[in-house]
Amino acid sequence: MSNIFNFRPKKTEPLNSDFLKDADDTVEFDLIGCEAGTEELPQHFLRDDLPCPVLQDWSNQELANIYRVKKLLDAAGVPNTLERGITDEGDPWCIFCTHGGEVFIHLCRVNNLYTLDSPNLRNPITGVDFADLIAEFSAGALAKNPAASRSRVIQLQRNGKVFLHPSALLAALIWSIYINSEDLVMLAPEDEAGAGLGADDSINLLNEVALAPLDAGEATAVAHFMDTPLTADQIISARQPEAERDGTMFRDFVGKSAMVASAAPIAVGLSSIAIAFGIMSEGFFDPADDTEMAALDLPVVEDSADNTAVADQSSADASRNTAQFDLAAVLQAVFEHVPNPDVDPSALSTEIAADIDLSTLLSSILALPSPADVALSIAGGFQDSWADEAPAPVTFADDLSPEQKTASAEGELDKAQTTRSTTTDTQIENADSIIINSPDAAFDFASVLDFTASMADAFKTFDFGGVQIQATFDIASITATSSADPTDDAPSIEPAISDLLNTLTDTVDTIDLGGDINGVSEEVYKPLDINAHAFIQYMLGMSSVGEVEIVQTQNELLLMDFDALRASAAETVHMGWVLADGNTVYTIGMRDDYMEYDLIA
Amino acid sequence: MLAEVQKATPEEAKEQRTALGIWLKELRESQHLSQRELADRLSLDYYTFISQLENGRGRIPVHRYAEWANALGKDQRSFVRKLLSYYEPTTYKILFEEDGTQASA
Repeated sequence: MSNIFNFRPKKTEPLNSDFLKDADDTVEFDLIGCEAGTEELPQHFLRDDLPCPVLQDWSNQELANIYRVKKLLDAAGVPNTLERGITDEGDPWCIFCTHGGEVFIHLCRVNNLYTLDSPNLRNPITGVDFADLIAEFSAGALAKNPAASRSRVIQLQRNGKVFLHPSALLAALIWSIYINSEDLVMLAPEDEAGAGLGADDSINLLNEVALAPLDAGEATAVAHFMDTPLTADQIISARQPEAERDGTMFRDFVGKSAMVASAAPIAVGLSSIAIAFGIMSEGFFDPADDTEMAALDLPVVEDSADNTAVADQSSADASRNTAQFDLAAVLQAVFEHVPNPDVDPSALSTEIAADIDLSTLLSSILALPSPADVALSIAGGFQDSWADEAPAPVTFADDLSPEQKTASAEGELDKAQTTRSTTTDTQIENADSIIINSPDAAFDFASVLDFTASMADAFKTFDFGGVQIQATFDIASITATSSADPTDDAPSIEPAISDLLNTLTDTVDTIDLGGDINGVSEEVYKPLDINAHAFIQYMLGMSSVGEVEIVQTQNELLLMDFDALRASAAETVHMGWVLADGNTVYTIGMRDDYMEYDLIA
Repeated sequence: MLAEVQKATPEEAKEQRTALGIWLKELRESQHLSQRELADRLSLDYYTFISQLENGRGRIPVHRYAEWANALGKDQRSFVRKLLSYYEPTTYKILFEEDGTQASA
């Protein structure tokens, strides 16, 4: 009751106090000795002088941006979960964790300042917005690097020509931190010009992902995320049944292929941005700097050797210096810069889980099936070295615990490191073998059969010398025609089918259609990398709409694009892979399709 | 051989750290400290880390165990033993449960 309110009447109107009267009672306001209408409001009442409203929790926009960062990291192949919380004072924080639950990014907002920390950062970085965080990160990197004074900084974001979504900025920063990056991400945009996907394309793609409006499911996820500090994983899990209801089998396969195929470009885009905001020592582009250039050159040499030996395409592939191969150099350099375990942990100021180190993080990149696929596609050199030891690639079966996966991956990491120096030789040796074992154990024959089983009605069973073959087309009619007169001008598909049936059944004598493999231009066996994986899924997807025919036995599968079988030899390619479980997949398709999936140059 | 190593699953680790977070929060509150005040005692760069830990995410860096014990008014040995029981339950069991004589030695 001690509060006194002073209402200021309008200056142009006489004070009308009738409304203050109620019978005999009159409510009076103390004007504190001032003439009515003349007093001035205290300055601190003015809006500009009011203290900034204290934000509580993340705003919707912030949460949407953070969620998009997760989406971008997912797309770039960084295995992560997102969780959030608020302090006892209401300040928000969120963390990005590995699938093992270890925190690798802590982001918070206190007093309108963002702070970001990571085990890979010597000191936390702060800023008023995401771009500011990156600026501080870059400044720290410049100060730390003795070559800073002579370094060249490419500022993509400040010339006004390149728009970057805030989520893309933050994702690029986290990506950089994740791979301990500022002196390792050395992908130069100009290096990519005219070779495969350019940096601009990657950044455009990145922006497309970041700018893409969240679909209904994602919006629901964000809404849940806003309401309660649920984990993003929980949200995504909750969405799964809904997603399964909405998606058809075909969309699922094609979608996965598209996602996988787009993962590397996303990574390239993030790297490009990371470089733009970080530092690039001119040493990386100075041939006189042998050490740093060596890191760039090695994977390219390996790749060229591989392709020379396996596909006899040396001239084409020697010049193949796409962004992916540059990133191979990046990751290779990462392995060569794994922090010394003897470093005093107190040297790291971070308060985040101290038991994470770069090697663990990288192992987790390489260990987890789906993201590992992306990493494998990036780290071409390591992928190659995986093929060195047959016949038991590391198995990342679903029933393995993440720790087991990581442990296995660490073993593979060692293997990659020890075999790197001899990769060229071993690749040439491997080229002599018919099929190179796959490192991608996550993709096994069972998953393929799950798909083909869904098309059971489309298959017919044929018996060739006791060997049961299932096919989506009438093999018998073709073999009968061909066997009747193998010298006739048989349809062009016959030689290829003859060859494939021979391969499938290993019964050359009984299924000799009189042809050879003239119908296909080349027979190339390569490791089942992420591109092959995506291509097989693409072919399976196309089979569901009748564009690709399938022949399968108990442990072998052939996918045939009939357009390819009817095309000229120069336009077709025949390729096979061994899956993780020892079963095989063969494909016959159009050269353009293989090129699109980077399976050939 | 590495595959035979028994380790906690991420879910188990998360449960253990959640329980530890609750314990840490109780300790802090028993000292009548806010999260910010505890962070100040520990000279943390950002006090939200306290909230993160109390929510069972992440872990206290090993090299700061003693400082945390002091800040929360706990005996260092008993504090670290408690942390060990949550962070490294297998190690803790070997050291302190299966052979009590060794533990006290």
